[in-house]
Amino acid sequence: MEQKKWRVVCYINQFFGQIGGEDMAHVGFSVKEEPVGPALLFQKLLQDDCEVVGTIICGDNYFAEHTEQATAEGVELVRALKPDLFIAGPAFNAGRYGISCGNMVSAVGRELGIPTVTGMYPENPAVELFRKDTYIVKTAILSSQLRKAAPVMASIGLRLLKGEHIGSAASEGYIIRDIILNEEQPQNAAERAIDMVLKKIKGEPFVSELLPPKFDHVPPAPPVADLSKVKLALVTDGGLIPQTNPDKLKPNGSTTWGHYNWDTLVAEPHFVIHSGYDGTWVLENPYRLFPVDILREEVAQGKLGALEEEVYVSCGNCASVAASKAKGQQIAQALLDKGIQAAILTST
Amino acid sequence: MKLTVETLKIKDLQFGDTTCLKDGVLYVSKADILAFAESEPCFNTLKIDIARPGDSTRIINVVDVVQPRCKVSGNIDWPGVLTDDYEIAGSGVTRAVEGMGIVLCQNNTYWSRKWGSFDMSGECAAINPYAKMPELVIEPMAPEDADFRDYREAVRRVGFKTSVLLAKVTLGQAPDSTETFDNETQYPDLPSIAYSYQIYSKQYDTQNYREPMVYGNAVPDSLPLIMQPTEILDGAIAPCGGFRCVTTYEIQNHPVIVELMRRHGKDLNFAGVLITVTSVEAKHRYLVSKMAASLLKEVFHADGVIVTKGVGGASTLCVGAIASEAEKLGIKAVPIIQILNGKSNLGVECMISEQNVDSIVCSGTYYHNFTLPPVETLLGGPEDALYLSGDDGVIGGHKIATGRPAKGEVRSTYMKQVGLMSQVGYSYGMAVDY
Amino acid sequence: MGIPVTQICAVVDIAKSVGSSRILRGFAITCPVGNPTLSAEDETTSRQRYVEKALDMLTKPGQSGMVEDIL
Repeated sequence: MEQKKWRVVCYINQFFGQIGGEDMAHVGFSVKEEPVGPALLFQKLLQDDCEVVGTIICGDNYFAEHTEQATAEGVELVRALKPDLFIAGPAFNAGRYGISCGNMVSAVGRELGIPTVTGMYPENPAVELFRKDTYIVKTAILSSQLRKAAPVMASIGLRLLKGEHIGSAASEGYIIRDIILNEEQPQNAAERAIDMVLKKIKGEPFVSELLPPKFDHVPPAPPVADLSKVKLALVTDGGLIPQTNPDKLKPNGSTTWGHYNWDTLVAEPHFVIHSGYDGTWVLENPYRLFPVDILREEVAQGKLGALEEEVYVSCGNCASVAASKAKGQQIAQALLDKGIQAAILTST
Repeated sequence: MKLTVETLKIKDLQFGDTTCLKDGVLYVSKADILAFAESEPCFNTLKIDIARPGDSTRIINVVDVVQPRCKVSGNIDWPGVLTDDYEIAGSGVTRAVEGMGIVLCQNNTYWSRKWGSFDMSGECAAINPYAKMPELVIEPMAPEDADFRDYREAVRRVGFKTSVLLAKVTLGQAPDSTETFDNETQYPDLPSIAYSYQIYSKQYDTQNYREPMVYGNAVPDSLPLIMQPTEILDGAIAPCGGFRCVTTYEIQNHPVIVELMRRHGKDLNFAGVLITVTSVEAKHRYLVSKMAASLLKEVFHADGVIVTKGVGGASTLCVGAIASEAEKLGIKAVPIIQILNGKSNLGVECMISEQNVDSIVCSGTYYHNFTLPPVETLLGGPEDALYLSGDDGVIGGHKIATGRPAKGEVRSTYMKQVGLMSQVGYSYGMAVDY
Repeated sequence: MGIPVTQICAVVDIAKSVGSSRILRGFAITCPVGNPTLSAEDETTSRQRYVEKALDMLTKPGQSGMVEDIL
């Protein structure tokens, strides 16, 4: 008895769609209800379980110049073909093609809720934009390497259809999706550490399981010319918040922050949500986190222009650098909007 | 110092009228364990159960797992914890019972910011050493108004007394194997490896309760101590608080110490152990890291050092500082650390920032998540207990209780599963980018 | 333009590694500005020293990774 085959739709650009080269990059979408170009290879690789029911083709410039509109248009064409799996590209190192493949897999995955896969050279600028949304299989720079990438893409696609496990980025050959998982090793961590230190002592090669990150360089903001004329705000990552937790901060890995009128915050029930330190000292005397007492005196003595009445609170526990950066940008913008010219940030 | 550990393997663990070993089966009389609770005023009673591999059982509120062990050479068991008398642990002969564990639970969830759990069957059990042997689960029942400090120490005493009792009743039977841990003879021609062991961090102590970790003493701001490796295996160090990704079982079978001892005189020289605590003040950390590196060089003459940490970010910074200072003195350092995030990548998640620390073992991310199915039996808490996610519990003295019924489908994490992530390197996981 | 920030923290390494440019070493993780071991009055004085140092740092050019202490 023949089982029903999964429906696969492929997306390619005008070049791989055999419409033409750069001179035809302006053409809009077309649909072929058959495999075309690289889709022929996917058809062959997946023939036992799947059927490529359509190939969607679009010119690079058409897509890149109206990305949002083109994505919407493309998704509707894909939807009409009722696919179970969507494969885009691979785009290799082509910038515009990367953008269209990335937008298509991302939107199709989100709106149709089906598995998607694409392929790109790791330095394709689209990689950074879309790697978390799909599986981007690593390819070489040139399209002559299609035969190497396609089987990897097909295999991931098929296993996604079957609901099977997809292994780590390195073992499968796709680009990291910002998910860290644990894998059991043959040796426990103690044995691995002892082997590593012995290799290091003997000068033998070893692979560190983790390395210190290299962070961004942030240029320092210019100094304050005259303290007596500036309005200063207090910011913390120490998680002192109202008991009602209106901004839904989390004890760890929090992505939200809040701003609260100081006098109201301390007058009403409040607590330390940060689970990475013991909040007893801060609750005993919240000035240990927000030195409002001293700063008000400084204002009274005319040494400081003004103190912003609201304090800005985030929870820094187990925060990734990326998440912290996003919160930092939001808080900085909020301070700028209020005309704040200087800040003191206390960290726990 | 020289310690002989003789190990007896049991075939099974069962309840019986008397506590005894018969035909390889260890029988436990509940009355004997209950007797330990009588002298503990903060307990109403104890709930005692056996959980078996493959059971549809979830044990929650776990604060510790202990291996049955006792001294057979006339020494004191758990000096400073079970007795006011002191002697230095780590010499003579110790009997260990293999094939079971004693799981200690803390039935008031809110006393512990950090508590663990584990299932006896399913996805996590498949990779959990504690789910592969029968466990004697002891849950002390305390009145609402019990003092949590008293309670914690009483839980520990009951656990250790049980450990000693169960090992003692096996003494009539010859052990299955005997191993002597001895690094008295030094081998200067072999690469000399020391171990820097961070045992504790006061940052997680609830309401400034200082966990009495060293022979029953609190050491909140200790400077580096030199301790004999066998002392650590033999009861000098014992946790007494919420679960922090290391158990007494793992300390009794300390994987770094055991492995270094086993290889001592073969392909390395085990130089010695340094004990540190997490610094919460930077000044303290600078001193501790420089002092640790200096002791490693001048006292241990170490060529290399393994550095392990307690749970948390500040602890990671401290081991990073020790590793970095050691490297500056020419000592190759390998810290064992963890990732504090799940939705990120390894390229940005190493909390050690010193660039000269470039040999790191990563025993996993805390936040590898699991969805675990409902269970038939819930131990360690009331039937209607909630399965608190993340670090919920008491936070800054404030109760947070959210989460699903613990008996139903729950979401858990790698760090919360007792046995999956061990700060001292007992676990097998490694963090990988997906 | 940017807002100058003095970051007061006990764990200065993180601040250094992410590029903070005005870092003042705080008292403890659990108490950045103050010192719970002192009397209330002395602690206020200690907090004043942290705050005045932090304000002073805002008036001077920052330098990535530079850490200052209250003296």
